[in-house]
Amino acid sequence: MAPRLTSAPRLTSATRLTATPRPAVTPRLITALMALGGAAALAVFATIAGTDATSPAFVAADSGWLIPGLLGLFGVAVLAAAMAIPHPGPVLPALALIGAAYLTGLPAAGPWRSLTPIAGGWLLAVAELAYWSVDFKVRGRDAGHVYARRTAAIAGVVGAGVVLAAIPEIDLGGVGLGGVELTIAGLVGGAALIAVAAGLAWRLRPADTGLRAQSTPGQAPSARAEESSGAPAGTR
Amino acid sequence: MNLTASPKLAAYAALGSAGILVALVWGYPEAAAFALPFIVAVLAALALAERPRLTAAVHVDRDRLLEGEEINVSVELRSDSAIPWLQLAWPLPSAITVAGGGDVVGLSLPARSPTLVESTMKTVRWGVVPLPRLLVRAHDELGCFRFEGAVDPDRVLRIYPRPETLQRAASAAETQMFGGNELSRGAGDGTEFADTRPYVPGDRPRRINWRLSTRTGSLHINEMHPERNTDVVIFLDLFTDIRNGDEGTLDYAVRAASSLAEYYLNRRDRVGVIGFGGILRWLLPAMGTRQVYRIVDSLIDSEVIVSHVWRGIDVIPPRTLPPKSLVVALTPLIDPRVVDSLIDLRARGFDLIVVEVTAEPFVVPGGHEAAQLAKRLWQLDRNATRLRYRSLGVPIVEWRPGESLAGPMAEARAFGRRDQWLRA
Repeated sequence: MAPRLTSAPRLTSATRLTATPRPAVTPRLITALMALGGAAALAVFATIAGTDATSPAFVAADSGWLIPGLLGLFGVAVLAAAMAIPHPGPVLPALALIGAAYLTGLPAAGPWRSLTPIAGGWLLAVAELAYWSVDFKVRGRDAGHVYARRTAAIAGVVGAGVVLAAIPEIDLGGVGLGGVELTIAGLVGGAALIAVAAGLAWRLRPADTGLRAQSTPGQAPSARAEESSGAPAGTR
Repeated sequence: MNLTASPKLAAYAALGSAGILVALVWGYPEAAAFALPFIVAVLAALALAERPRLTAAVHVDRDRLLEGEEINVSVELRSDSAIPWLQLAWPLPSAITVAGGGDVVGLSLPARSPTLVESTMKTVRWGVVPLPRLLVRAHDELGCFRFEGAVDPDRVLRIYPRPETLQRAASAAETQMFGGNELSRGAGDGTEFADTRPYVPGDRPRRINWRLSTRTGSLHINEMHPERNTDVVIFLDLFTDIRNGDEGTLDYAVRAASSLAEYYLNRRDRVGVIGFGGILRWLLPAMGTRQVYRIVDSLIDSEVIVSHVWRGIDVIPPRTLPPKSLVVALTPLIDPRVVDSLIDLRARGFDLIVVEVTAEPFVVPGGHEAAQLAKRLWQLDRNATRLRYRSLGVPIVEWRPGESLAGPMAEARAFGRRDQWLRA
């Protein structure tokens, strides 16, 4: 018989859980409906904004609302398909279609434009909810705690994204950059972003630390009975 | 632990890059502002993610148990950093199920605090089962990365078949020389009256039958049947296992073998086992409690190894089949090698009982007429095989899985008595 594990510490103050997972259908359904509702709202917003005479869609075609409307409709339909399958693959094209709907329907001037950072954050929230529905399968007794932490994390990222996205809007209005300078600033900013991302990703490189297993040595599966008992047995 | 990025991360990076590209190419800064939250999300995910340093220890309360018993498996987890969402999964073999829940457990693991995850598993089928690897998946705070690894418990569970308690089973026609529970047909020292005979010098006076001696005028003594043990060899067919789903004929044959071994060993008989299949396996007859464990240990290793080599009983070591032993064959009577070998055993004078672990419940024919016809022909062929055994005086009893073994054993006992009467 294999010896018992002796190196494990005594669990005097340990948390004890019992493996009784519960299905997580309802939370995923809620997040899916919220994602679809958010996407539909953004699509409707883009369609209404597309009726403005200064929007790129209106400039390109007489019936300006048609292009953002159709893009938004397709985006919502693809997102619904992703929720129904459920598979994370179609979420990216759905987000791209809805984003395109917004950008084509956005008027060139007016109060609509200042809402762009909020719209970006809104689409990020839609994306998070959509991926939550199809990719984040939670079962277990800590599910409520995980939901709360996840919601807080999404809210934090969306908030930070909206605030950071609003900064260029403010700066552009104040400094009045344009043309080549703006392009160079954009390129430098993009390169800086890539460098920061690469630096952060470097931390996650494979290392020799990770999952370590402590288990008792056991009998080999092929161990035969006579080896342990010394019985007069044999095979041929 | 292996790192896997969620499709979400790639999607966010693509959307963010596309927005910046549109902004740069078409001079449309709103696209960059619109896409910036996605870039922030990517950067936040990269900044918050941390490769977990996790230690997992698997504890099992025991590693030898009977079919249907439960085993408590606990996993002690400890991580240097907090893991927002940790999933544990047991890809269980068919011999084990999780009792009262699923085989996936989710929890949030605090930093530097041991957490014990307990799970109850139930054994379904006998066998030597390695405890499955525990798959571990850790998610980061934003669900953009998955860190996956596995813990190999390196433990083997020995699941023994649950034996059926038999009150009586078929007895051997001939007894051996050691003391046991079986009445010998011969005369000798014992407690069961056999016959009387005239006194001869040397007989013990206490065995004189005074009533008969008074009536006849000459001394007569009582003869007794001595209690002797028998040699029993359990012959397990390992050529064929007809399965349907999680159950098969071999499962039941091994359970029956375990029950019979325990019954005969309790009667102080010597019991041996022959696994007749692609690989011949044997256990020499012996008696005692140790032999029970030897037999069940050897039985749970039983498996069908496909072989097309024609094997007869010549390959069986002679010591495995002692003279005058009772051979109890447990077989679905499918493979002709087993059918012929058993007939050969009978021809060599062994006392043979064939317990047919019927394969019919496991054979589900198709709905079309040809399949039904094939099944009827197969059943006719099996009837012919049974008649062949009966014509040789071999008791052959059918045992349907799920039923008690006591019925077929009583039938075999009755057949044996009839056979003895006919021979007399």
